[in-house]
Amino acid sequence: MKIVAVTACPTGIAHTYMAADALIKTARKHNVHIKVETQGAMGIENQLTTHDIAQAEKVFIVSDIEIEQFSRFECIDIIHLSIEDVLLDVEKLFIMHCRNN
Amino acid sequence: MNEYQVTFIVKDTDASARVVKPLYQLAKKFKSNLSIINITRNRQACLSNSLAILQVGLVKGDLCQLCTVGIDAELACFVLKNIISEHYHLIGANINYQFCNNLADRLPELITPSRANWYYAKAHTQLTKRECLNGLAQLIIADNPDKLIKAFIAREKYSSTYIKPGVAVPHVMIENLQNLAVAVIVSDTPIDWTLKSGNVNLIIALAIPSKPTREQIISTTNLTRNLLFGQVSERLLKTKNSIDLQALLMYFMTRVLT
Repeated sequence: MKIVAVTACPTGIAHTYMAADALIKTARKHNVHIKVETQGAMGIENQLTTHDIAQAEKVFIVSDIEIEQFSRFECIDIIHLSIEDVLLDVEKLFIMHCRNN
Repeated sequence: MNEYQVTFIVKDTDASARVVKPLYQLAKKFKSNLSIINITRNRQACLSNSLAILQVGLVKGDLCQLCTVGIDAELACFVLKNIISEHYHLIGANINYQFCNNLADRLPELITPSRANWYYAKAHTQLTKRECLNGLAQLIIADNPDKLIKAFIAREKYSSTYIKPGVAVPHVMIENLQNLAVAVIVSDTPIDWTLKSGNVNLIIALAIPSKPTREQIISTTNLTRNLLFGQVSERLLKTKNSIDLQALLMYFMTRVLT
């Protein structure tokens, strides 16, 4: 299964990158191919291309604030998650959203 | 039961071979549980095993702790510290060491990508979250903390900065700040941080200049990313000596552990 994700947080120095690490680490365990774009203090890094988005089945928007360029994801399944959900129980998220693949 | 630690940095990879035997023989004399943890490589071994030191693979530059838990833990720690200090860089070699801004002068392994100012306080009474945020702001800007207090509170309203069980990391960007500032409050009685997730005993506040340099961002993101790695957050929580705690935090700022 292929998914994409965007992480962002108000200050952009802690949660953005922690959530990205957590997703990448756990995705491997669940056999999910993931690309994570971080919108933090260092700007947008590892930006998702239209190709990435077109190939993905779902997008995880992990943020407590509005993300930039949200309209890119209009045509795929969007799952909104709070930073806290990801940091405290990332396993559960993958079980809920990425099962049977 | 309390855990006691000796925190050290490996200065010579070959030292393991020399320290294995004396450490194993001394460890046998104590009733406590003695273990060695290589925090950098996320490996742990019990000292009752003669090959423990070799199992955790101490390589030059690794950050490690020797931990003792049990009835004679404090004594064991005191005795084993001598052997460790002969072969490795001991962080808290002197009982009087406290949080300071020049720790890296003595231990070059702890040079962070950007300079930071360090502050520490131990809570002696039960604190509320609000009092704790006030305290952190006062540590960082003693004469005029109001703006920083407001910034911390505003950040908490967005979402809680609770990160791992027992650990919160409130962080804000603030104007008129030259260097990164890290303030730590340790509280033996738990502080209620969020209704949803729970209590904390260790609060690590980060104040970042409003126009941060790349090095300042990297220092902070290294630290926060490492909090999710291996035993990092557990080690921070259990480390009682303040200088050891600062060394751990500085070390986690220098690199991302994998």
